[in-house]
Amino acid sequence: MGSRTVIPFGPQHPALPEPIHLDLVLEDEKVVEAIPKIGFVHRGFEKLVEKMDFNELVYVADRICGICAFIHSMAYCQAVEAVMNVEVPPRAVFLRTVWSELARLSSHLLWLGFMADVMGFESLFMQSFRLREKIVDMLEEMTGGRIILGVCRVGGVRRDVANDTLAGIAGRVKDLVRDMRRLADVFLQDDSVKHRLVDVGVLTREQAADLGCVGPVMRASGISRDTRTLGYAAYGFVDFSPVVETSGDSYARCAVRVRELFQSVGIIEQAASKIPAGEVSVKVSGYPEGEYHSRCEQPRGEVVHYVKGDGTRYLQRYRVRTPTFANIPALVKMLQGCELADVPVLVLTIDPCISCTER
Amino acid sequence: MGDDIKAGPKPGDPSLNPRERQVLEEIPAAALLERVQQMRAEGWRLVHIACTRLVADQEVSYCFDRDGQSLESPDAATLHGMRTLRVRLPIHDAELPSISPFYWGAFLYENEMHDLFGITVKGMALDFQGHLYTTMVPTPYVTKEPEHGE
Repeated sequence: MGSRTVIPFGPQHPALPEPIHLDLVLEDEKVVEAIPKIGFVHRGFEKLVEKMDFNELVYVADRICGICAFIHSMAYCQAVEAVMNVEVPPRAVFLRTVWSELARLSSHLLWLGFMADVMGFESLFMQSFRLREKIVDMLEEMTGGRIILGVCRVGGVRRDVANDTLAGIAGRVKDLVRDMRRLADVFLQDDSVKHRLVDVGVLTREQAADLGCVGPVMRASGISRDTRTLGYAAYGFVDFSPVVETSGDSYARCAVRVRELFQSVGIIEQAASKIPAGEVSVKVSGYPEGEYHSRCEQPRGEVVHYVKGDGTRYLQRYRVRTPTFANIPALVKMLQGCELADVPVLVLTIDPCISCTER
Repeated sequence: MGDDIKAGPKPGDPSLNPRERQVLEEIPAAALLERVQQMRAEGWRLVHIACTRLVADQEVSYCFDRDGQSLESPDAATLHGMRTLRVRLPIHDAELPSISPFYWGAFLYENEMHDLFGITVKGMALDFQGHLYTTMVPTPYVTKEPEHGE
């Protein structure tokens, strides 16, 4: 056994868009242990239940993160709607589905860009962000927001979108498929990319299950679980099945996200073609009394928004369990046995969203 | 999901606003480890742990899910079911054993319980010694915030 060295990785590092720290215990160039540290930007959003009523908290949920903002607000609204037994109009749940999938496209393209950047593949980074910009433009056309959409409310959504606009958006998303396929070919076929990803950071199916992984990290290890199969929003009305890979390495995690791009395009097309006419919100009266764990599939995996109300306008408890929070234990296991040079890429393969995690 | 559902929504369709069935089981703190061990043996996944400050005490909810299987029928893959084990604790000097022996990844939740709610969790797989979160007020959910000028 060689002598052991401890190398600090983060919280500021070129590979990290947000702060997370790892103490890497090395034997020569091999990582034998990784000790994570978060908490650098903990904001205490959940404690705002003491000062903001349950309707105002939608804005808080929307601002938990700048990548998965919309799905946070939707999961929160669904939790309150379940507690208050609110029936959201059909048109609103279809709009929520379209915006969720556009948010997934935006997030996955962002991740692919970051991944390319960390691998030193700058032109691929540019191409990923070029495509993402078009998605963000579409979100802006429909909602007025590019990142934080601010369109969800308890009882529905704040904005309607004309059917022709929706059909146009679905068509434009479909037009991006050719560009996405070219991007996918590079990520999945290029030798220099495969060299960095194949057989690196393998997480077996058993480990993924034991560690409670979620999202693409879990599905890349062969577990076919996707919270959208619960049928929330309009997912009960569209045809899709979880994207699964089996090798459990960094390449598989990348492949799941790449294939999910095309899945999202399909869901948007179906939702836009089946959206019914009608109202987009209902009036909600009264205050929440009871509790509910609302689950949605974020781009990074299952998110849980737990609310508990005691019949007053202020909730007793609001708790958010984000997908990255659930995937950090898996990251610790993945890093054990890898080479030091692979650490930045490996950390990125869980698509860490620290602002979500810190809340 | 049947073909009729795929065709599109109809007014009042129950598939539009599905609610998960979520079962709550209150247990004494002394029975926690034994019950968690059973859940583990039955193949439940730890979804999350949530603490809630109540008026006179606090509660800790351990939430589990079993891979898309309904609570009524393990064969019904489209209905998920969440089960929550709940223990009640005093607001101050609360103590619980760690469930790390059965769910290794619980250490982050348990450190959070310690840092935000002041619950001492014995035997965590990774103990940050109160340094997971840095907060202006220690254990902010169970400590009264100082008023301005105090």
